[in-house]
Amino acid sequence: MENTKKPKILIIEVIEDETSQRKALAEKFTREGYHVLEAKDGEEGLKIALAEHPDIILLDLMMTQMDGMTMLKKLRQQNSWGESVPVILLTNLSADNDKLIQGVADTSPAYYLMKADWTINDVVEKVRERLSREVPTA
Amino acid sequence: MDFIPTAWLERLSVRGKLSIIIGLIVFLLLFGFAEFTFGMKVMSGIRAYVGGEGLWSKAQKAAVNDLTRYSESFDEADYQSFLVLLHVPLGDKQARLELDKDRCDINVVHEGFLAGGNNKEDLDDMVFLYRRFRFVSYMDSAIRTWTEGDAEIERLLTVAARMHAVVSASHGPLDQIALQPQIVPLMEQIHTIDQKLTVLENRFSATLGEGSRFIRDLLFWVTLVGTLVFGTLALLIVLFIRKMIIQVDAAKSEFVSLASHQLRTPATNMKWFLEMIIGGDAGPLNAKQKEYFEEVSENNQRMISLVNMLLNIARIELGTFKQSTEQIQITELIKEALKEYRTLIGFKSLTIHEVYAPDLPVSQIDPRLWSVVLQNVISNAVKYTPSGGTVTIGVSFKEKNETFGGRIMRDDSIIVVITDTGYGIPKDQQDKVFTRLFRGDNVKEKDTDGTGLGLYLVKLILDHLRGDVWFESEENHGSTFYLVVPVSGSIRKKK
Repeated sequence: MENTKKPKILIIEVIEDETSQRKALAEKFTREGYHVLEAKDGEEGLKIALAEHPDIILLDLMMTQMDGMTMLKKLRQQNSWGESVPVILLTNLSADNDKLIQGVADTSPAYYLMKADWTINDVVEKVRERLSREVPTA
Repeated sequence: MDFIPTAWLERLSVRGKLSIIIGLIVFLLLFGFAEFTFGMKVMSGIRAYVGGEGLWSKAQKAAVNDLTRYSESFDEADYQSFLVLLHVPLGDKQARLELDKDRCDINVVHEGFLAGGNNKEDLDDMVFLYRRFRFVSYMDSAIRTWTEGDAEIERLLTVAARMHAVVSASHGPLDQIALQPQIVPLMEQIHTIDQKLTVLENRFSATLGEGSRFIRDLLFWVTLVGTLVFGTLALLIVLFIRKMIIQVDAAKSEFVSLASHQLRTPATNMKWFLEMIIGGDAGPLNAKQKEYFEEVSENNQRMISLVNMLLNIARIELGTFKQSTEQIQITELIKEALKEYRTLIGFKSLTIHEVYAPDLPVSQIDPRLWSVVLQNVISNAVKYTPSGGTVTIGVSFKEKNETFGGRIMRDDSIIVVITDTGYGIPKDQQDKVFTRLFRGDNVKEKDTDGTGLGLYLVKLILDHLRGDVWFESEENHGSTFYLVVPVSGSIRKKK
């Protein structure tokens, strides 16, 4: 699906099991000119990611079915694309959670941000900033 | 530990557990008291009998003495004296015989013992000992000896009566030599009886002595074992209760933690949608709509701050808050905290003075904890100072053993002093300042925005850091807050 606002096609997948949150992010990023893919849990997200190869993934850590960290680790093991696609983890867990910090370190390139502290525009900025660092793939 | 029904104990209510503890303590006290009283009563009884025996044997010996004199003096007075003296052993005998009856007349017993020269205050204990311990080995043995002694006294009286008959029939002391062949054998018999009585008297005391030593040892062991058993039991229960209290505390903090996490989700959702509405993403808003949505957004933000604060408190109380320290210059954190309130400061035209000591070292501190503390104290200063006021922030460094504010520094410490010209804290409320949900009555009306948790959290964090926080304040003049935090690993800049 081509998006009509900007010439580049950038696909973001939003995996959130919170429909409200997913909706906010999906609509925002669509408005900002991104092509948005959505998944409601880790399993579905993994499938879609491998099929569509989005440029960046926004991933919620706490989900039913397969939780965020598990899905991310699986993704990294899949193939070379899976290893290198940047992922932004969205969480409300406190930042001094050891498992979180270790997980982020292990699954680079990965970043996390605490949803409660970030405005949605901040999230858009972060995505934009991260993508501008990538060499655009054909 | 299996014999203690831990599952049942855990399910007991707090009141139930308390009842058990109190019951145990009361029981222990009563047991101790009963044991002591009993021991004392028995020992006192034994002492009375030994004393009684002393009087018994002295009376008996004196009686034999008088009888011997009588055998030479032929003086009736001596014989009478002999008889009177024997009232002592006879009185005791009366008591003994009465006590051996199934239904005894206590007055007869008392009368007997009193005749035996015993103190009336001892009578109860003597009766108690006899009645309760009649067949216990030591007592039984002593009473047998006593009975034998009484039999000897009977024999003594019989022989003495014979002598009395002989002397009464005579014509006075002049017949004494003539009556020798009759008197001498009688005296021999009396002498034998006296000797036998000596043995019996000694045996009686010795037996009672052994009995009392036995009781002493018995009581010692019973007390020791009892103390150990109950002491251990009480200790185990106390430890158990302590574990419960810790668990309850932890559960409380965990609940707060869980609730806070759950609360964050809808709050975040609302935050983002509000942001998009206010930003015009869903279409243009009229002024009133924008105003109302901004109110909603502010309230939501307040809720998020409150939740964050509750979470911090829960984590510190639970001890799950892990410190991560860095080498940081405190002044940086202060400047960051001031930036947060830049708009409010500008809006109120507040003057901010920053007074930093020139030799402030870079210190190893946890920036997150410090940020929370600084933000809270600075926020209070800024919020509660009216327009045009001044807030002064001073930072200095004191080495170990230097003094500040009348306190000696236990370690190298950083001192932060924040002074404002604000509303102050009323004197009668100053002792509640660091409690949860405290907000001064004087500011509650002026600004409904505070959570009342800020200073509680500050104190919690300072305690956690082993620091100190105190303040001085005067209503309508302003307040000064002092923060002292020990820092190790500080590298002091060369002056």
